[in-house]
Amino acid sequence: MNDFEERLRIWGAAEARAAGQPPSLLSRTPPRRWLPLAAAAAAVVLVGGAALAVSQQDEPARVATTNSDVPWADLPPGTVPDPATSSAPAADPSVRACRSTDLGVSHQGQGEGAGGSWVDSLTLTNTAVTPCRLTGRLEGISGVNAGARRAVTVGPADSLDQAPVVLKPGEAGQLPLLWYPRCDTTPAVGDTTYTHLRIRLLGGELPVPAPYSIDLGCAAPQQGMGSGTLGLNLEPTTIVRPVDSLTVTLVLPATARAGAVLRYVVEVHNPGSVGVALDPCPNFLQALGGNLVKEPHALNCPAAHPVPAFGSERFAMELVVPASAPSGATALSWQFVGLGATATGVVTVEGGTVATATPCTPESTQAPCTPGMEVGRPYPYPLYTHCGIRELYADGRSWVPRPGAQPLDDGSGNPPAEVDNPVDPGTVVLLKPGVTVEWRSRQGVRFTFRPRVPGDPAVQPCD
Amino acid sequence: VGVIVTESQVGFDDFVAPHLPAMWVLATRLVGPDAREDVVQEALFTAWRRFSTYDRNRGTPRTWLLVVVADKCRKHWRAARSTAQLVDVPATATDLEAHLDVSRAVGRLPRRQRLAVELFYVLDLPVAECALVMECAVGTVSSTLSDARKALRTQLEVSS
Repeated sequence: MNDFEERLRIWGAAEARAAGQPPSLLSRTPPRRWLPLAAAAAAVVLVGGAALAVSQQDEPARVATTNSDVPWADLPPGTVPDPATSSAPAADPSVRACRSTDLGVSHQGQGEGAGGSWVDSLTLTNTAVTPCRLTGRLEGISGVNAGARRAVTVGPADSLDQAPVVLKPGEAGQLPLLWYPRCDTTPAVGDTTYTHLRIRLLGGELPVPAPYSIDLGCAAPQQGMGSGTLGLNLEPTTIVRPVDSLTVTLVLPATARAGAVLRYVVEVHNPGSVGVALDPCPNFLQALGGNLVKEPHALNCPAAHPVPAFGSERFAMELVVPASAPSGATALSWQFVGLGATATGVVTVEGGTVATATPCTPESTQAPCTPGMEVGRPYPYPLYTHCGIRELYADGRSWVPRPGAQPLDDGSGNPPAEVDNPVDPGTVVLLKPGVTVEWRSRQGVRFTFRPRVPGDPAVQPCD
Repeated sequence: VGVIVTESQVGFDDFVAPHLPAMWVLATRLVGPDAREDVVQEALFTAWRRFSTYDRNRGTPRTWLLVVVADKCRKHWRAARSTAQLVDVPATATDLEAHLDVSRAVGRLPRRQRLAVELFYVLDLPVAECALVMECAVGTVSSTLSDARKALRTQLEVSS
């Protein structure tokens, strides 16, 4: 390729990038100006033998198949490759090489590694509209040494050409870098500080935006050496897919009914400049009230479209609220498994169990709440256990778990084993007036309590 | 009045989505940033109407969609005869002078030569696909590109 041809190619790639990315012209709610066109088309659109009629509200026909949420489907979670651990596949040599103008570049920033080395992670994103093969070499850090420019020492195995990868539009290659000093015994000409990194690709240099400041220190007297150069170990490139950048938000109803199906919507947003196909189909986890409900599923990808650039896709969700769910504000969380995107919201559960801290209060007027419990007699005593057993009120006073008033739970804020959640219909027994009461769970597990004294920790609200 | 969608139009979004960036770039280059959205919208609508007639044996989806965009751009030029010249897309402040020179030179090319340059160098299409979009023979594209290169070289030598 001659210089003039190369100049035109570089110009073309830069112009393609300068044109930017389209808005979400294929989003669920296209601009209103589609409407006259769609209405005019109604008279000329062919009617097929098995045509699907849709009502013409304020949406044109072209979105008729996509203007609703992706329906709910109770799909079991599938096997999804972990993007964080999967190495980039071998590159197809027939794919064109990436040019400097195809790539956006960022880096994590220089950090200290072991044994006087420096680590960094370079991210090269394909911002072009076609795939390209990441090939070339990390040619040099411009070292300032009495005005001279020094080249970095890169072994043959550390060239990008040794393990090139193909980046689809929007995909990024993540290159872990390990820099290390290579001091030698040549006459010292002063210390060397490397300040900039450049990557040599087909079509020119690709400068890394943020500066480096790597001081070799080879000329220090204690090293007993002269000047040196900077060495590089290049780890295998990892592909970061556009799917990894997806974010989610929840659209929740204000209330949910205990024992009924809670229907809500998850909006999957694509902040990137290229559409994201949900392939492989990601799994998700929906959870209500901490551990009250925890369900993994596969997303209903077969019924979904690619998430458009700068757009979103809505997925209908369903979750059965247990009849035993406590009434009141309850957290609902949703997350992509392995992708990082997560969202939480709150719904108010109605018709569930009444979440009182204890069935007795100082205002109660009947046994076992009032003073005068019979020693050794079991009284029915439903206890709220949802966040662990923390306190009960009986015989006219508050009691806390023995010995140190520490909550009785499974270590994660849930009831102990063999105790119902959120309420256990157990019994309370006065063992020694003013000293000990015992609460027994429905399954017979026993816990002892002592009177609350000043200085005992206050009971935290349970949600 | 109900709007009817034929079964063959189902899946149009999936068909178009991967190629929308290329359609956008071509429209930007040929009619400029002010009119590109209208052109792409019209191209999408036309493509949707003709979706059932798409024949993959006659070209890839990208080619077919770019043909529609190029056609809409031609119609846009005809409708705006007083400003029939192809527009220059403003360059960014960081562009080098040499880059600006190429942009200016490309902007002065005859319409067919410019279309060939945009398809080949900006959209990075192979010559065979350029031919399908320009609705001409492969050899014609090659000769058009050759003429364009000659003209550009002359212009750039004069300006430097």
